[in-house]
Amino acid sequence: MIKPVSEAEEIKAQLQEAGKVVKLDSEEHIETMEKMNKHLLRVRRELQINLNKSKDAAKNIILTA
Amino acid sequence: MNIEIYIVALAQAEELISQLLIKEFEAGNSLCKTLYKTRIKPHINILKKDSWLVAETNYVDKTYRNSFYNYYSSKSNSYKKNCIRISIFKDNLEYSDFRNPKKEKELHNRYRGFFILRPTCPNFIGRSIISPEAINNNNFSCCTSNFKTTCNGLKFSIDGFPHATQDNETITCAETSLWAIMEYFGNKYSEYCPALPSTIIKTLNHLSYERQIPSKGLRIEHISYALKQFGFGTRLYSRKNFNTQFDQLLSCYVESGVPLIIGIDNEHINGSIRHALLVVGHEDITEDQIDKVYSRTLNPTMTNDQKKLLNTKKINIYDYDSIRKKFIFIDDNHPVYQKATLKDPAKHYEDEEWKKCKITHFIVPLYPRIYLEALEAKAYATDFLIRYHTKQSTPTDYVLRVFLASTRSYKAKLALNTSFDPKPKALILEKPMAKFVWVAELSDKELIKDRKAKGLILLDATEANIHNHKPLIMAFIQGKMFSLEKISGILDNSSLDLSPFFIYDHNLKPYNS
Repeated sequence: MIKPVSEAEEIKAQLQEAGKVVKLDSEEHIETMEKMNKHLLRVRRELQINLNKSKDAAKNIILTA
Repeated sequence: MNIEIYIVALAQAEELISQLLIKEFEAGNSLCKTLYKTRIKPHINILKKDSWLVAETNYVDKTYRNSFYNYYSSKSNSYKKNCIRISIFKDNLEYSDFRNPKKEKELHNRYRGFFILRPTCPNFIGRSIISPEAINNNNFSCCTSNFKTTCNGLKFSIDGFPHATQDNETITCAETSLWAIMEYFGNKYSEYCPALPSTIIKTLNHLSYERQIPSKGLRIEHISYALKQFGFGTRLYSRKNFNTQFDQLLSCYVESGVPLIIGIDNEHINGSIRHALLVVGHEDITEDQIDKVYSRTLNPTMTNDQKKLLNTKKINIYDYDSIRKKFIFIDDNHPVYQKATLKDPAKHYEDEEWKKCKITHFIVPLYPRIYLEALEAKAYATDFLIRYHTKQSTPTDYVLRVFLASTRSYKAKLALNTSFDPKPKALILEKPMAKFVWVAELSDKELIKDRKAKGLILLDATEANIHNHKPLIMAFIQGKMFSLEKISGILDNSSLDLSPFFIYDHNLKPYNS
């Protein structure tokens, strides 16, 4: 059978075997993820409001010069 | 009727062009000197002294012909339908050079682009593609597309950004900006088509309750609508609403190699100027400008939680987009590649009213499937760095450079980047990715001066779901690699070093000659 020449799977296996991979699934890590979710939701909410307001602000500006 | 060809050094430009305006466009003898001085000379003055010009009469210019058949030919006054094309070369040349096969390659290397003179007195300067290599003070990087053209019977190609002056009848600043954007994208990517003036008018026809020509400009929202109709996922930002983030967002998109349409006005001094122009690049960043960049902790959008973590972990984050620099503008009232700051985008105007104009809006012609916004990508990268950075005894500085890149271009450059460690490189190159990725390069003030970074966060630009690290492709921070285990949805953290590597700077083409 012809073996793939790609390296990614082999590198991942080596890291796993050497015990260099840690799963970030502790309560503390889940809490960090939740904090990021919350922050990014706030960023999105503000972004959407500002994009809609930008659209409204541009409505009556005619570029002529 | 033949094509007449003239070859002169730049020093003879005034004599040649004045002669052609009189002979080909029947411009008045007495007016010619003033017309040249006010309308053409500024475009000649930006060219390098060693330039030579090749003028060809009876040139059929697609953009002017479109305006001619749809408008000028319907007037009682007679307008010429042919134009004059002026090609630019480096160093002296002779007619026989164009007939000598041994000189062909050399001519190609010396070709610097062209501009069209159209018979629309007094706005003679029409379509142009001029390479930044042709102009003085070209220490900048900008978006360019490759254009195929001819001169004196030979085929040439040139990299540059399209430019034209407005004729004030079929195209004003708004239509010219749309035309230039579509000319750029249409020549660069197969997904888009160049848009001639009549196409722009037709696209906006059903939004108009009055006649569209002679043009009296376009609403900003109509420009945005036209871009959407031409295939973009358009985004519109106003300074009033984005406030302190406005300039950084504009800079982020420019760094991503996306040319933007910007709206400037002097309404704040009760003026009546409303103008559209393009921003397509920025000047070379100096070490002094990097030293002066201010810390992200001063950013009012940063939460108290984030500020606390930055203090505890002793991290300082500087936003690369906050570096104060001049940008490169394509302005149809001025010669191509104007340099100006975002604070004073019209400082190069002579008129005091114009000088005071401020940027109020910018429109981003985004690829339609880029669902993750620039602001979200920057917020994600910053928050990820703050939260997953390990506490250290000594303070750590980061210069965060966030930009959009096509996966094809990013991987192609990464594959041959010998400064990038082989293992992380293989992991990135063999990871399936969407057509576009947001790249956050983590550098510091010293490394970035050498165009190097020490960390990396890659985000999927097509992932609008910002929950639970969904957009994360891979991150390399402090000798650790973070990636998302797709089945469990849990973040993996592997010990994997990433030595400083040369940053990706291929979104904009650098010039400095």
